Formats: sequence, C-alpha cells, structure tokens
Amino acid sequence: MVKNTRKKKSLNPILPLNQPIPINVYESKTLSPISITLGQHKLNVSSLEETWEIIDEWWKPNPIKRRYHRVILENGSRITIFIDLITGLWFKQIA
Amino acid sequence: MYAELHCHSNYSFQEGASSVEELLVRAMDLGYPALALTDHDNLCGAMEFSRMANDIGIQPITGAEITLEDGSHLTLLSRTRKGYSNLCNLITHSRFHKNSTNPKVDPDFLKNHTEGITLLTGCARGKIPALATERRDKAAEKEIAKYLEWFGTNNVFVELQQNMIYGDVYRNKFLVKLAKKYGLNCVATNNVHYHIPERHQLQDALVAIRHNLTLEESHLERRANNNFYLKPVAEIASLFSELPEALSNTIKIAEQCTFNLKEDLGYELPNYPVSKNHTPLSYLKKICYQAAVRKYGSINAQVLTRLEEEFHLLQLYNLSGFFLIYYEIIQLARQAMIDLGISSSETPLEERPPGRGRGSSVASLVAYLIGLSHIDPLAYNLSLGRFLNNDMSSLPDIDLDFPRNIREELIRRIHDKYGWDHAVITGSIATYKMKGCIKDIGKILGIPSKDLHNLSRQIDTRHSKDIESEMARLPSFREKINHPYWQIFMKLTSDLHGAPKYLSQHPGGMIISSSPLTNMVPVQPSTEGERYICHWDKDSIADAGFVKIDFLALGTLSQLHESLQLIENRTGKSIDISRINFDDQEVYKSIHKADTIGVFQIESAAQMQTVTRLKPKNLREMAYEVACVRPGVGNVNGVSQFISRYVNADKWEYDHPLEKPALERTHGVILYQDQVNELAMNVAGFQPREADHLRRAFGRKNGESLIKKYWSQFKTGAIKRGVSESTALKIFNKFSGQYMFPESHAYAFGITAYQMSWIKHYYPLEFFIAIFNQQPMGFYNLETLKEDAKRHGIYPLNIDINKSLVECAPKDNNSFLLGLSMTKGISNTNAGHIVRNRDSEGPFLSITDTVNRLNLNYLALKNLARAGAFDTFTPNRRSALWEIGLIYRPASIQLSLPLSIEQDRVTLPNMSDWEKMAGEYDTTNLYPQGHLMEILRPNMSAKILTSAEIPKVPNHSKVTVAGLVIRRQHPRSHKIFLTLEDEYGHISIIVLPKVFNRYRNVLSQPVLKIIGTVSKTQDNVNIVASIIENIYVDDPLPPAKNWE
Repeated sequence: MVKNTRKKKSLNPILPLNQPIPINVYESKTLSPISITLGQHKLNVSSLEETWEIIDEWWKPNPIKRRYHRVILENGSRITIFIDLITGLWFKQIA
Repeated sequence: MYAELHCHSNYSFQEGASSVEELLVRAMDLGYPALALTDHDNLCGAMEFSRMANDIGIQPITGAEITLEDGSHLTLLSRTRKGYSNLCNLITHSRFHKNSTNPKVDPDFLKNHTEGITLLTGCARGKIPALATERRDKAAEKEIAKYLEWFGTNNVFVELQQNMIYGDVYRNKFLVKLAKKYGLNCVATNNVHYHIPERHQLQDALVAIRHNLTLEESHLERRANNNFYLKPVAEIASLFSELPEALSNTIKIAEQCTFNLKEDLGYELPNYPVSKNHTPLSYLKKICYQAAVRKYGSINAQVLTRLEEEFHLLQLYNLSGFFLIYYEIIQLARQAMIDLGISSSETPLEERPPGRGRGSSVASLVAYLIGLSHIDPLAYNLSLGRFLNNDMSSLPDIDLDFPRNIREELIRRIHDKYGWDHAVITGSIATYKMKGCIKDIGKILGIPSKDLHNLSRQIDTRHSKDIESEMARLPSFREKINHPYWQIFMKLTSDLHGAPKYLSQHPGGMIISSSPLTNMVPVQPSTEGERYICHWDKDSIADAGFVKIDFLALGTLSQLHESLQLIENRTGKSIDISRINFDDQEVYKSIHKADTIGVFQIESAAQMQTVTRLKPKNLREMAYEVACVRPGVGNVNGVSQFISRYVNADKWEYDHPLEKPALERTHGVILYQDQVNELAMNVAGFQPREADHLRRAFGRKNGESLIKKYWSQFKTGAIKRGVSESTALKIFNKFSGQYMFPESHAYAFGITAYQMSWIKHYYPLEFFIAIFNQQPMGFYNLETLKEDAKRHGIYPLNIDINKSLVECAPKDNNSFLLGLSMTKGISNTNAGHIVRNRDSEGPFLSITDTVNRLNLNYLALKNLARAGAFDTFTPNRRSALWEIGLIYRPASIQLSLPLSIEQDRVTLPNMSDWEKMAGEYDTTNLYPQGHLMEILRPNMSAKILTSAEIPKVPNHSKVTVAGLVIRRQHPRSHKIFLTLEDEYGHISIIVLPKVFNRYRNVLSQPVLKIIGTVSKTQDNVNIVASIIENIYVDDPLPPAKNWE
C-alpha cells in the first residue's frame, strides 16, 4: 500500500499534458495559413496536406470549434496547427 | 450540378436529425434536381419522401444504407422496380437473418439480389473505405472485385466523402486510385445527417441517446464536426475541385434511377381464389343472397336494389376479392371464438358475431350480410355514399372492432393462414413526446434524474416547444431557465419533439396481398413475437394504395362478452344481445338519469350532460347522442342548436331549401361527416370525390389555402344553383375540420352503448365484474367504478387469500370478490399459482402456512396483507405484516429451521381506518369498504357541502365543496372541467381560464377544496370555481384520469 504522505493535496491534481502552443499565423481571407512564425522564424506554408475540423463540447461554457491543418513548411518540416474559430487565435498542436 | 445520393432522415432512428420535409425543402432551396434517401436498414420514410419530393418537383431516389454481417455499410440505390423489390427483400432478410436484434445482410443473399440496384461503396464505415483507411490495398481490391462481379461494372461507383474529418484526404486519394485501377467512376456524397449545420447538436444528442451515454461519454461515438449537412453545390464543388466528375456522376446516377416509388409501385388488390364455376363477384353474390334469405326471409325489392347498387360498385373498383378475404377473416375470427370457448359452433354467427363494424363500412349491406357489420343499414336508412360511390379517389376503409383476446388470436391466425410475406401488420412510427424528450435529453446532459422526474410530473403541456414557458411557471424550475445548461436542455427538447423514435406497430391495421408484400415494402418480426410488421405507417400505406384492414381491440366488447358469459354462468340464460328489446324504456330511463358510468360512449362528463338533455328513447336517438358530443359538432355550437330544435321544438329554417335532403334528418344541424359531403353535392354541385376532398381539407394541418380554393368552387357552384353568395358562405361556414362520426359509425356505437346500458340495468353484478376485469378501459378509475357499483347495490369485497380467484368473481347476487391479480406485485401467473395451490392442497390455514406454501416474494406478501387478503386469519393487518416479517425467507437462501416464532410475536395496535385505506389504495387502487372523504369529512368544516346536498342548493349560491379529483378535462376551449368525487357521488366543476391560471399548480393535486358558484341548467348542476385549495394527503391515492 502506498504510504499516506499527509501532504496537502494540490488544488489542481490533474495537470494537462501537450497543451497547444499559441503561435502567430498570417492567414488568407478564407482563414488558410500562409505563413507561420515559430520562435524568431517566419516560415511560409508550402502546402496543406490535410484540413479537418473539430466541433465539440458545445454544451459546455467553453465549446471547442477548431479547424486543423497539417502543413508542410518551406523548410520541409511538417506540423499540425489549428485556428480556434471562436477566438480567431492560432495554435500549434504538440501531439 | 449535384444531387445528394447519401442522405439520412430522422427515420435513421437516433441518427438522422432532420425530417424528410426539412431535407427536401432545403434541397429545393439549394437547387438539387434529385435527392436520394438512404436511411439505415429501413424504408420507413421512403413513401413519405417520394410523395413529398414529387409534390415539390425533386426527383426522389429510393435507397438505403444497409449493414452487412461484419457491421460494414453499403449504400444501395434502386434504379428500377426490380431493384426496389430487391432492396425490400434485402432489408427484410436483414431483419430475419440469424435472429439478430440488429439488422444484418448475409453477403450471399446480397449476391443474389443485385439486379436493378446501383451500389456506392459507402461511408467511412463501408468495408472498402475502411480498408483504404487501414491502407490494406490488396484486401480492398479483392472486395471491389467481388462487388463488380455481383453488380456489374456500370452499377458500382466508388463513393468519396469529404466531411473535414481527419483521414478523409488520404482515404479519398486511395479510393480514386482504386477506381482508376478498375476503370470505375467515382461519385461524391456528403453522408448527410441533417439539413443545416445548426442541427448537428441534435444529431450529437441522438447518437448519445442511442448509445445510452451522456454527451460527455459519447465522444468516440459522435461525429467530429458539423459538416454532415446538405451543402450548397459550390461548396461541394470546391471540396472536389480536383475531381469534377465526382459531382457530374451524381447526376448520371440520378438519371439512371428511373424508379419512382409513388408512381411505379404497382400494387394490386388482393384476390380470392374461387372455384371454376365462379368469379369472385358471382361467389360474393351467392353468399350475400343466401345470407339475405336467412336475415330477411326473402329477397325483397329494397334488398335487391341495394345489393345490385353495391355489387355494381364492387365490380367497378374490383373489390369483390377483397370483400371475400374479409368474409374469410370473419370465419377465422368465429373459429377463434369457438376455440377460445367464447362461442360454440351451434351458436349462429349473427347471435354472437366475433367483431363489429365501425366507420362508414357499416352502411354497406354486403358488409352486413357477410358478417362484417352487426347493423342492418336498410333498417336505419344508412346512406352508402360515404363508404362506396361511383367517384372515389381512394379505396374504402373497413374497420372492425374485436374483443381484445379474439383480436390477438385473429392476428396470429391471419399470419398463419396467409404467411408473413402476404399478411403483415401496419407499421407505426413512435415519436418523441414531451416526457420522452425530457428524459432522454436530460439524461445525456447529465441532469439529475430527480430534477427530470419532478419536471415531467409537474409539466402541463404536451408540446416541448412550450417547455420554457412551462418551466417559468413552475417555482422549482423558474430560476433555471436562464442557466446556459438548461437553455441547451430546452432547445434540444424542443428540437427533438415529434422526431421518430422507433418503428412500432399499428394497433390493428393489417395489409393482405395476393403477391408477396416483401417485394413492395420491407417486413420485420415484431418484438412481441409471432407478429410481423411492415416498414410503412398508415399514411404511407394509403399513399401506396394498399388496402388496409383495421382490427381494433375494443375493451367494451371484451366487457360485453365477459358479462354475457357471467350471466350465463350464474343464471343459465344465454342472451342473444343482438335480439334484446331495443325499445326498452326502463333502460332509456337509466340513460336519461346519466346512470352511465362505465357505459361505452356515453360515460364522459360531456356525454352525461348531453344525455340528460337529449333523453334518447330509441336507437336513432342513441346515434344522435353519440354523434353530438364530438368536437366537430360542439365547436360550432351544434349540440345546443340540435337539442333546442329536436327536444324543445324551437323554430328554425334552412338557410336554403337545397340543404333539406342533407339536413332534414338532423333538424338542419350537421351531426355526421356524410352530411358535409351531401351538402357540398346538393348545394354546390360537387362530385362525390370532390366533396370528400373538401371534407378532408377541413381536417388537414395548414389546409387554409386548400379551403380557400374549395370555397371559391363552392361559391361558384352554389351561385349556379341559385344560392346567393352570402347564403353560400353561411352554409360553407357550417363545415368544420374537427372530428365527427360518419352516420353509420354513430349507429354502430349507439347500439353498443345501448347494449351496455341494458346489461348495466338488468345485470349490474356482471356488468361491474366484467369492467373491473377488463381494466384499463373507459373514463373512470376503479375507485369511481366501485362507488358506482355500490350505488347499484353491488359490493366489491376485499381480496381473500382463501376465496378470491385470479380475476374478480361473483360471491353472491350482490357482491363480488376482487381478484388476486389486482394486488400490486401479484402477476396473473402468481395469482394462478395461489389458486392452484389452494385447489390442490386445501385452504390456507394461517399466514405462516400461506407464506410457506406459496414462495412469493416479500413485497407481494406484504401487499396481500395491506390489501386485506389475510383478514380471514387476523383482522389486525399490522400483526399480519409483523408475522410475514418473522417467517419470510427468500427462496434463494438456505431453508430456515422450522423453529417456533411464538416468542417473537408482539401485541400491536390494529391499523386505523386511514392506514387501512392508504394501504388498499397503494396495493389495489381502491378502497372497497369506504371512501376517502368519509374519513376526511369529520375533520373538515361543516360548511363544506356534499355532492348529495348540491342539487338542493339554489342557483347562483356560493358553496364550498371538497373531494377526490377523478377527472380533469382540458379541451381546446381553455376551460377546465373537473369532477370531484365524495362519499355520496360526483360534483362537476368548471374552472374558467383566469381561475385556471391562478390555481394551475394546485389543480394537479389529488384532493381539492373548491369555493364556487352553483350554475344550474335544466338537469345539470355545475360549480364554477373561484378559489381552489389543496387538501394535503401524504399517501398514495387513486390517480385521476386526465383528458385533453
């Protein structure tokens, strides 16, 4: 049996993993990514491999409404980003 | 151009979120030339879809998304009539295959039913798309090669769907490559599940409901986004910009699918095999002439003329075979009666007919002669036109009422005789009602069940669209309506209301066909076993032109048959109910006094108040009586008008002499449906078919434009016949869309009402025993029936473990013992076991002996004690309960040692009268020895008057009354009618809208005190309520019957 450490429990014992990272994206009128700023580097999007949407948890105070893109950047790297269609903010998906 | 070829309506139960109408209207707005309906494994909406699509000018394509044995999906579209027939057979097969509860098609069966069908490879759950997703090239190729062999290269299309779901792009690329390899065409579809994106929330909710999960828990089952809607063509085109032929192929497929369900079904009326010497008509004539000689002695001119007229019409519409099938069914029912011991082969059919006609068919002499109806239409001068005429647009309905047990047996025998592929029960689509919406939506949102139960219990509306205003009215829910979570609840509840829930069965409609029905509509076994239902409801069946036969179960007929049997058992007299004296004024006198509780058709409060004014003295007037109290008559003030003219001989005049042939028999008032048709024909020159359409137009939802059109035709026709426009309008305004009886139906029901009154008057013991045994039926609960029985000198006695039978049975000429099965928790099987044990091992000697011999569960034993079944051993019910507690051991545990319990006995005080009453109400729903008000009254103010005192109080007096609410009626007029019952009788209460709004929450309580004003009219006394108070009773009471 695990010994009771008698330490005070954390207020938020479940820590989220792989939180999306906010990024800057230059987008087209149709909200397609044109270029992405990663750290100090601004990279153009060479191609969009796939686009998909997630609309979920609409019954909750913070519904999810996102459009994802798997893109290939000009440096050849492949990343997944999404735009939060409610706030208009862009994020990089970690996993 | 684009046509959607993969579309689910809400007939894809708990999956599709839009109705057929919503989808079609949206498709029309988007300019689609064609739309395919491809619901999951059923064609429940196919006919409705086809009819509506034809009406709005969109090409309907009938299809389905079928499920194969491995759970994968395939989209099938019927190109031709043969293809449609194959589709029906595939779906039927899927419902019978391997006795699975989920439909599944065996690929070997599919292989042999491909002609006329176009195959699309399916959604992401299709076998080939799934293999594509799994990157299993070889397996996918093998699968496609198989379908090419089965369906032919030209009839297989690779289906591409782009719903913005992760993986769609890869899958589609794979599928395009596969199509190229095999030289196949690709086709774009959108796997539509709702007509507009906003409806995805309901679709998510439905999926959660289907999986019995909350929205939170159903993450994996729900679709990822809201892209499954009918998309504008430009949107679809942009999704498939690299493959434009995927869109143009939708049109090509649509052009190939020439089968139109509404137009091309080709149903033929059922035929009847006759010997070489006969045609169906000549054989039917032979049967009728023989019966006419038996019934009338000879075939006189009147009989001959009517028969010739009917035979001519039967020939015109090729209905002879159909009538002969009915004749055969009546013979089957008669045999069932004999086999069930309800009749004997010696008893003539006419003396105890197995069923009774209702509706317009009662006017047919042929129907009377072949045993379909119990009423001689010539004796009552019933006109045939509403049933059969020479200008009909649809086939006539024949409805038959049967006692419940005969109907059950008859349906089974019809399936046996004709086979389930030739005789099936009409489907019925169960839809979401208010309480179901609250329960299911509340559950998926995770709302506590206690809240949902409270809301369901308190809500006082039938339509979920009013849920917000209803919640605002209820103190415990008022504050919730602004909470976002409850707002979602209210929206979803409202959206779900009326949506199809599952395929059920019509109460009694059957279709019979000479050719296999499974080529026309899918059939599946019912959950009830030994029954088979088709996928169409009565409206789709009417659209298909099928002949539907209605076998309805009528509790009254069961009551009537049981009464006659009980009379014969007690007195030895076999009564021919068809030959009793129909002019017995003693019976009519009892009706005039509204002594009609439990009497079919004339027991409602409205009927009781009319019957005392109309005072029927013969069967014609009984027909007036039952016809009068219908919304279609009452809503245009027809009842008062008719009574004033007929009873009080008030003067009146026709609005125009042309009304006379139609309205003379009812003193210028429209009492019957037939009279609407007759007026339209006589006053405005309508053809029979047009007149029938006019009558139906008034009853249609949103039929205003149609009525406007008919008014124009009516006006023109009437003016041509010399009727002024203002008079024509006066006559036209007499038509009503509310329900009315056909004249023949009123006679049929009037006669049954009289027969039941006759039994009640002369054999009240049997009347009450039978109505107790046939519950649930009628307007009143057992407590009210018990009070009425007592007023007739008939006393129901408490259940006695040593004397009661399974059902109620006579004890002597004035009393009867309640049946054991009336106890809550004692099933018919348990009750039968008790009786058999008693018969074989002798009477029970004590409570201990009973408990040890019967092996009943604890609750059932306690209920028997509380119902008074052990009073024979001890009058102290508290002691009886104590004793049961001491000796009861569940059957599942080790037997206890037979030790004495004497030392554990204690002296307990007996229950009070109130406790006994509460126990009996809780366990049997009635209190045979007394009435609630009898116990309450000593504690109430002396100012509260009894029902016996009210008639003596002057009109307009202010009074206070109290009682148990036995009826609440909320008709369209917004007035509420209540009936209070006390220990002396009934008190009628009228609650006007203002008072209703003020006391709405109190009105749902079971015992009320009401202050109001006496309102007397002729023989009726009502109290118009002004103040309503709840009398709090914290025990279960018999529930009132509520009617809207």
